[in-house]
Parts: sequence; structure tokens; C-alpha cells
Amino acid sequence: MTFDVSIQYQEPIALIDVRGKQDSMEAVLVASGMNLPVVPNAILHSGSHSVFRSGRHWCIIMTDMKRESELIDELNRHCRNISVQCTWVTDAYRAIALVGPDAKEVLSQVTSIDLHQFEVGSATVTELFSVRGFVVRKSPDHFSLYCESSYADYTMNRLRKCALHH
Amino acid sequence: MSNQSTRLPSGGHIDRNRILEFEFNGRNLRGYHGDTLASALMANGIDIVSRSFKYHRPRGFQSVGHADISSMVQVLGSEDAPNLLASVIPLRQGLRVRSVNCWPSLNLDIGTIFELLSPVIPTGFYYKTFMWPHWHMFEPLIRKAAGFGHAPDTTPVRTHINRFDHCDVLVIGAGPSGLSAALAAARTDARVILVDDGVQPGGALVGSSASINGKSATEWIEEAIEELDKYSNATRLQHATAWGYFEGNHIVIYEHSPNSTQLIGCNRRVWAKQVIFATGAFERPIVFENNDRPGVMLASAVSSYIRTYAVKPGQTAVVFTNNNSAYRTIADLDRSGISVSTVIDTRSQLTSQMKDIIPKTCQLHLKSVIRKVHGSRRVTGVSIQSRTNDRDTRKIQCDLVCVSGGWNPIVHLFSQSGGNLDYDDGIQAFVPSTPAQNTWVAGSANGTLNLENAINEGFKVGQSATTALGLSAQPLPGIEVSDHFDDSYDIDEFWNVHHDTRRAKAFVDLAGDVTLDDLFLAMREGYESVEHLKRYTTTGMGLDQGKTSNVTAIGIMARRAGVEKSEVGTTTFRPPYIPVEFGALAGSRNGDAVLPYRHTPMTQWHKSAGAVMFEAGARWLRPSHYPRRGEDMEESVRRECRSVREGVGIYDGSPLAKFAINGPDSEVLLNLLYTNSFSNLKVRQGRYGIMLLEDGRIFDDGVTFRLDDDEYLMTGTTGNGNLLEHRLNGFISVERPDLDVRFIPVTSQWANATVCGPLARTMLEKVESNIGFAGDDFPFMHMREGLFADMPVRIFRVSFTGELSYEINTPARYGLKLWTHMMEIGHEFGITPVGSEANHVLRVEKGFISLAHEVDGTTDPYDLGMGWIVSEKKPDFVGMRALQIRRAGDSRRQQLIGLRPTSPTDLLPEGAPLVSTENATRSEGFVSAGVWSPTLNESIALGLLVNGRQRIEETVYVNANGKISSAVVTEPTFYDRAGERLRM
Repeated sequence: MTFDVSIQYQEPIALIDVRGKQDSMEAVLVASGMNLPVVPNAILHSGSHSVFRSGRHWCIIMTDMKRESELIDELNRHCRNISVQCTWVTDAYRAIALVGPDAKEVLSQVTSIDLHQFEVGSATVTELFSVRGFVVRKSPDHFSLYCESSYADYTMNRLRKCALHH
Repeated sequence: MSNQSTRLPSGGHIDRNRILEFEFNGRNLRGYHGDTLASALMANGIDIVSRSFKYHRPRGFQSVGHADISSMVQVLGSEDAPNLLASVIPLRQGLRVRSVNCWPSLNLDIGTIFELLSPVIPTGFYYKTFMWPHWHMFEPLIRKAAGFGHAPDTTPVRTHINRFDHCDVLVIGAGPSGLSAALAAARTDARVILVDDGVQPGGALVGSSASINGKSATEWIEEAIEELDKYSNATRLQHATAWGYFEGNHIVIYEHSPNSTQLIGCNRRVWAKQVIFATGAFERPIVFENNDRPGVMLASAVSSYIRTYAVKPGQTAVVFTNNNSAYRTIADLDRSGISVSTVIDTRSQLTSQMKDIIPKTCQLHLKSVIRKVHGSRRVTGVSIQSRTNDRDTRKIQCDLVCVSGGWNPIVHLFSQSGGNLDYDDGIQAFVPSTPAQNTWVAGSANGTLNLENAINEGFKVGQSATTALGLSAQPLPGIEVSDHFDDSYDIDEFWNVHHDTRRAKAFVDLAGDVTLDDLFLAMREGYESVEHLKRYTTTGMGLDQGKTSNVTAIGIMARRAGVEKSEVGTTTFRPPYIPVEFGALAGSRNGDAVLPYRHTPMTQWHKSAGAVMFEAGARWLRPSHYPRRGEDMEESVRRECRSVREGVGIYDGSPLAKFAINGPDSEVLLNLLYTNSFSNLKVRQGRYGIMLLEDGRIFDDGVTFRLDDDEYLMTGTTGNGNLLEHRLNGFISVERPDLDVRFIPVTSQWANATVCGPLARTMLEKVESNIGFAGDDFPFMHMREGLFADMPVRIFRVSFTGELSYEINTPARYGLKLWTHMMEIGHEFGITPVGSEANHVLRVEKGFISLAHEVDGTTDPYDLGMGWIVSEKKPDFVGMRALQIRRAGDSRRQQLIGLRPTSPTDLLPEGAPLVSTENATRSEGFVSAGVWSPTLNESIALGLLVNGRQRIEETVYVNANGKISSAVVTEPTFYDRAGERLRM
């Protein structure tokens, strides 16, 4: 019996890697109309942007592909004279969507995060089959897994294997 | 087909309507759903299941569950697996098994000769023998003789999975105390996992005659399970064994999936905030002569087979005990129609209640022991003897011996968690003492052998565990147990029956065939520490890890040495608690999922073009070469090299490690990391650099471009990408946290198609772009950004091949489009995809260094003739001091040189030592890279040679693969020494 889950590559979304001290990151984000989550491994949504704080001095902004260039330009404008680095990393990651009633069951084979406490709207850095990545829970039955794009084929292959055995 | 001759007409927790057919040693047999393989074999009158490890003695059923090491079998067919215990394999339709450790058959086993040879193969014999001529001469034979089952020849059809779980309270064991602990915890909001290794929950309560709060034991178990299953916060894992306890309350559980057509099992890693051990206790045997004969069983195992599986383990039984618990078995035997002829008790008196349990026809022998078991393939009788008078012996006919030497709390996981153990004289066993993690213990695992106390203790620790989590606990229910059996334990310390016949065998550890004499011999030879004795005799080192033998061995040791058991101590309890298949550890990580390979956006194109792929470091899969039809590797590589030297080639440079560096202190960071200066690097210019370790040896090299005032793009070696990232992170976080600088790995962000060769510029000028490629517009070691065939690009003029070269970087999403466009545009120029092998040849021709060849972990820049890259003006860089010290003190260094074989067709193998004369044996260096140069039409090599640069034109010798070749030492650059071609 296979799990009731669909595993597909997601339509790409723009990713911008922002690094710097907390105050500096906060200043740049606020100036660009966004907020920095208070603690790491948390995500805040504002308009078409989501800010995932992946570390103490590190966050990733997710936004619509159409806004990719515009947003990085805006961020870089606000970065002048502030020690914050904004780097375009849209292509460094590949997103895989796990959707379906058994998505959580399949994901429990992939990552050691506590999925019970990983509520809708949450995000966290994790290892996906020993490869660094991060996960966003979009709905009770929908997870987005972001892995380094060079490992995407491997991750997809492993996920599909995991979905085979109930 | 057998008729299950020893099955009781009623009773047991089996489904008699569901008949299952199975095969044992080629015989077709039947059992019922709910049986284990062991109970089904016993029901079919099978006495002998396997042969023992060392002496190949016949072995039957001795215990139940994971302690019954005698019931080892090989599962056949699609789920081929060795050394599984029949006592834990749930019976299923079509199951096929055979006995292990016997040849040619179970009944006629040639290995029984080892018992005749036993006087010359005492314990530890393998440490004393097989010394001459060499151990390895005997090893294959010994391994063959000692092997149990065989590893599967084919991939199993069914597979394993791994998964992760978290919970607030993990309860291990679903016996009376485990069920009550789980109930107490689940009645709060705590997330509870209850794991139990039995086929069904209840543990010792299954089939018990006790009543709990007025309900039968069966009803109480059913109600507890029903209540637990109602809670959404509670998960039950049945037929699952917690086998390892690690730091941070991290427990690994193996869950069997007997009814799945796809899964053998699931290995779960669980992180629990609180852990409750309700793991129960193992009954232990008493050691006496021939105590391993089929028909000698632990008393509790006999009860279990009768109560749970409705099987009669024999017709006429004797019971041998030193405590009250075996008297329950007497009642079970009596109820099932098995005649109890004799009870032999080591104690001098019994309570009246115990006496009442003994059937009227049964003889009671107090202060007596079993001296010896008679029979070879099955018990036929026993000789008993008074403890007060050695001459008072008699022989009794029987086919079943029920033994109880007491109970050992199952403390394995508690001990693995770091908890301390104490020896409890009251129950003559080791019990948990001080916990090391958030753990609690309840029931017989805690030495609480009374049922009512065990259940109440379970509720109490369940409550304590949830209270420790800050949850409001539910009131404790009052539990009262009524049982016609007085379960006061009243144990007499008794481990073994003395015997003095050297040839007689009394087994302490059935798994390793370790006898009482083996222990005594080891002690006589000075193995007084329990850890030494364990290793010398292999006691407790078998597949069961001494579940029933360890405490007995400790008791015997203590008595023999005249010390306390606590003084002897225990051996270390290590995971796994039960044997775990490798497949369970691997889970779904098999086949092409074993190793994660990294792909570039062009990987599929390379594969479609017939490229031979290989792992090029840091898990990157890269093309080695692109053979055309009929071409071998050499021909392919030569063709690819010629295309770069004469026309235009293209290679996928995406895996090159790339890091974005940003911040006002970026320049300071680069000046610290590299030996040369980056201070005067202009925007859009690049510079090659070498990075050292603190000891002055080369760590990595690469080109760094300045993108903006405070922004750089650093490149490093493909295979060093991850190390480089760790090192940079460490440097910024630990060594120089004061620097205002950040770096981000962007290797996967950019795809890279490198176009190289004398026609590269002409070709690129054909592409619609806002970038000018003319030499003056775009000089060597410069970069340009812009649009190239409508794709955003960063193009770097860097060369690894020694030819005019453009590294075209584009976001990975455009990678394949860029590559295919280049192939189309380049068609008229004869563009050729080039693999890593051709790149290697081209760089050797140019004398460019390469990690893992010339940079072998011992070299510094001076060794490679690159002293020019070590700045003498900079105040500091990583490795500077070590480099200075070494250069000052060591004149005899191996230095990079070129080698031209005297015979131009001699290929010098990589790694071959270099010697100064034809017959010399002392190595003075080695060949770091040897290739056939299609450009020069001769074999060339690079090498590291002591004082190499002073030995140009000297002849050296290479002795490899049985052939001596001579070569002339040259400068390490064979082609375009002035570097004009890459700057054109």
C-alpha cells in the first residue's frame, strides 16, 4: 500500500538570503515593509513576502518570482551603510511540495523535527535525508521542502521511495 | 501435514479459525493465527529447532521472546534472513524456515564431533592455539564451523523504513505496570507512546488467574487498551522493541510489520521528554548438568506456552526451583493436564499455600537439586540429589523440566541511559538505582515483583512523569489485586549445582555454549574482573547479549571468589538490546538512494550525450569523458583535448565551490585567508590565491573576483566546498568575530558553462549579448556582467586548461538553456563537450596544480614553485608563522617537477615512487599525475621530488607494476610556458 500523498517539484519562488546582525537585518526589513521574526526557525508573512528567520543572523525572504529583481534592488538600496548582505539564492534551492493526507507520515521518515508541534505556517531549518534544507508547513496536509538544488533529484528520489511503503 | 499433536483442545490467545500453513526444514506444518513460530513448532511436536554454537548440541525451546536464543532459525524465500528467533517470529501463511548451525541436517549434524573434541577446545582455546603457521590459515574453516545462518543472496522483496517521532512520555513495556503508567500519563494532555515487544499487550498478566479491582486479568488488559486507544494523544506500538537508548532521551525502536506485504519493519527514532521503563524481568535458569537438553525450560516459559498458545510443552514434568514463582507453573501444568511428578526445591521449607498448590500425586523434595538431566535429543529423566547428603540421589522419569532460578529485572535500557544499578539482596538481582536522564522505573523492572504493587507503582510513575512535565496529574486509582496465589517471592540464593565430571556439561550461557567449567577455568587462569571473564569466555556475548545468563555468571563468580555480587559488578549494557538487521538501520536508504549525488542543471544532458559519470568530490556527479561510438576512454580523452587546444571545447564547471563575501572587512578577511594580497584588487578583476592551514600547508586554491567595493565572489576547489564553508564559518565565528563580514555559499545558485579554446572568443561573439569579448575589452582575469542570449550572466576570464577561456555563470534555472545554446552556436566551430579526464590532461600539460595530486596535504607554496604567491609585506595570514619556521629549518623538501619518460610511450602511474638509480629502493618522491599528452604526442608527468628544482635534467626512475621506467626531470610546465595562449 502506498501513502496518499503527492510529491512534486513546486513552481519556483524567489528566495533572497539576508545576513547580518539582528538590529541591522531588522532595519533593512522594516524599511522594505517586512518584519523579522523574533526567534530563529519562525516565519512571518506580510503581503506577498514571507520572512523565514533561519538563524540568529540569517533570514530568507520568500516572494513571488515576479518581484524577485524589484525586491533585491529595494533591499540593496536599504542596505547601504548597513552591514547586511542580501544575496539572490532563488536557484540555490529547489522546492518540493508534499501534499495529501499522508504528507506528515512521509515527512516523518525524512526529518527529525517534531511534526506534532510544527504548526501550519511554521518553518524550520532541518536535514532532509542528511542534506541541509528547510521546511514550511502551508496547511495541515501541505509541506514545502526546500533543499539545495544540486540535491533536488536525490531528495525527490528518496521522498518517492518513502511514499511507497505504508 | 501435521495435526498439532500437542495443542490443548481449548484456551490460549490464538485464533483457531485462522489456520496458517508453514514450512520447517522442508516439512509442511500448520499453526494458528496468534502463534509464534516457536509455539506452532511446539504444537507440532517439534523438540529440536537448532544446534548449538560450539558443540552442536541439539537445542529446543528454553524460554520465550528475545531470551530464547535456542530457537534460532533461518527464514527462507523472499524475506531471507539469518539468525531470527522462532520465539519472536509471528506465524504467517507461507513462512519458510530452516534450522541453523547444522550440516548436513538437523538430525544428522557432523558438527557434533566438536563435543567429542571438547577436552582440547576449552574456553579461550582460540587465544592459545592456531598460532602456527598463521591464524589466517585456520580462520576460514573456523568461521565456517562457527557460522549460524547465511546472509541473504538477493535483495529482500519486503523492505524496512526509518522514521522519527517525538513524545512527552515514552512507556517501554505494556505489562501490568507499563499499562498503568501509560494510562496515568495519557489521562493528562501528555503525548504518550507505549511500546511493547510482545505479540500482544499484557506481559505477565496474559492468562493470569489474578483479578484486578474485581475484573479478570484479561478484562483489565482489554479495558486498559480500549481506553488508551481512545486517546488521540496516545500511540501504541505493539510487537516493537526499544533496542537502544542514547543521549537526550533518544530511544530507537524496532517495530515489526508482520502483516505488511511490503514492509519487514520500521526503525523509529523517538525523542521523549520522560521515559518510563516497565520492561519487566527475565526468569533465570539454574546451572546443572545437561541443563540445555530439549525439554528443559524456564518455568515461566512453560506457563506462557500453556496460557498464551495452548500448547503442552511435555507430558510429565518435574519442577526445579529456588523461589515461589515456579509454583504458578505447577498450577498451570496441572490445569493443562500435564502430570507434575516431582517438585525439587532448594529451600528447606515452604509455606502451606505453596504446599497446597502441589498436586497430591506429586512428590516434593526440599533442600534438593537436580544433579543431572538424562536423555540426548529430549529429556527422558532427571537425577536428583539432596543438598545435605550427596549420596541421597534418585532418578525420576520425565520429559519436561521446569526451572526457576529467580528473576532478573530487565535493566538493559536503564543502564544504557547511564543509570546506576545496585544489587538487591532481597530479590538476589541487580535493580535500577540512580537515573542519569529523565527516566522512571516501575514494576518488576524495578524489582517490584508483587502484582498489586507493580500496578500501583506504574500509575505512580506515570503521574510523576507527567507532573515533571508541568501537567496536572490525575488522582491515582486505588488498585486491588486478589489472587489465590500468594506471590511473595522468598528466594533462596542458588546459582548452580556442583558437579565434578569434566566431560559433563552444565551451561551458564546457551548462546555461546559457555559452561560452568569454562567460568571456573577462566577464574583459575586469573580472569577475575567480570569484563575480562566475559571476553575470555564469551559469556553474555552471544546474540541474546546474556539476557538470561549474565546475572547467573556474576552470581557464580561471586560465590567462587567469595565476594559480594555488587563487588563483581555488571558488564556494560550496550545497544542493541535485540539483534537488529542491517536493513532496519538503512531503512529506505538502499539502491540508488544509498549515496546522495549532486547534480548540475546539465547532468541529464551529459548522461544523454553518453558521458561516463563519476563522483568528483563533495558528492558532485561529473562527466569523466564523452565517448563516441567505438571510442575507448583514451581515444575520447585525446579527441576532447585536441578540441580545446585546436578549436573550442565546453565543460560544465557548475560544481566549482562559490561563496559570496560581503562587508566592509571583506578585504581584511581575504588578506588573512590567502597568502597573497587582495588589497589592490580592482572591481571586476580577479586574483588567484592559495589558502593555507595553520601548519603552513596548502588547504585550497581558487580565484576571487571583486564584484563591488565590499563584495567579492570567492571560488574554491569542487571537492573542498563543504570543508571550505565550515572553515570560513569557523574563522569568522571563532577566530575573528570582530570582522564585519558575511559569506554565503552560492555554489548551487550558479550554473557554469566554460567555453575554452582558441576559437572561444570568435564563437562567443556570435551570441547576442551586451558584453564585449575583444581582448582589450575583456582581458584575462577580469569579469563582466550582462545579458547573454537574453540570460543574465557573469562571465569570468579564467583558465584551467591554458587556453583562452570564458567561464559563463548564469542562475541555475538557465543552466541547461545556456549549455544547449552554446552547443548550437558552437556547432559550426566543432564545439566539443569536455570531461574531467581531458581537463586533467590539459592542466598537467600546463603544470597547473590540483588538489589531491600535487596538493597532497604535505606541500606548501614553495614546494610547488609558487613562493611568488606568498606575500612578504602582509603582517599576517593563516599559516604564515608555521610556513616561516618550516622554511627556515628544512632544506630537503619535495618540490614540484615535470617528468619526461625516456621512452615517450611509457606512462608513469600516479603515486609511483621516484628513485635516483635503477636499483635504488629509497623513495625520493612520487609521480603526482601521469598522462599521455595528445598535444605533445608523448607521455608526460608531474611529480614531487626531493630538491627537485635543483635536479632539472637529471634522470630518475620509476619502478611500478613490475616495470622500471626512466624519466628526465624537467620544469613542470610542458606547454605554452609563457602563458600567451590564455591571455590572447
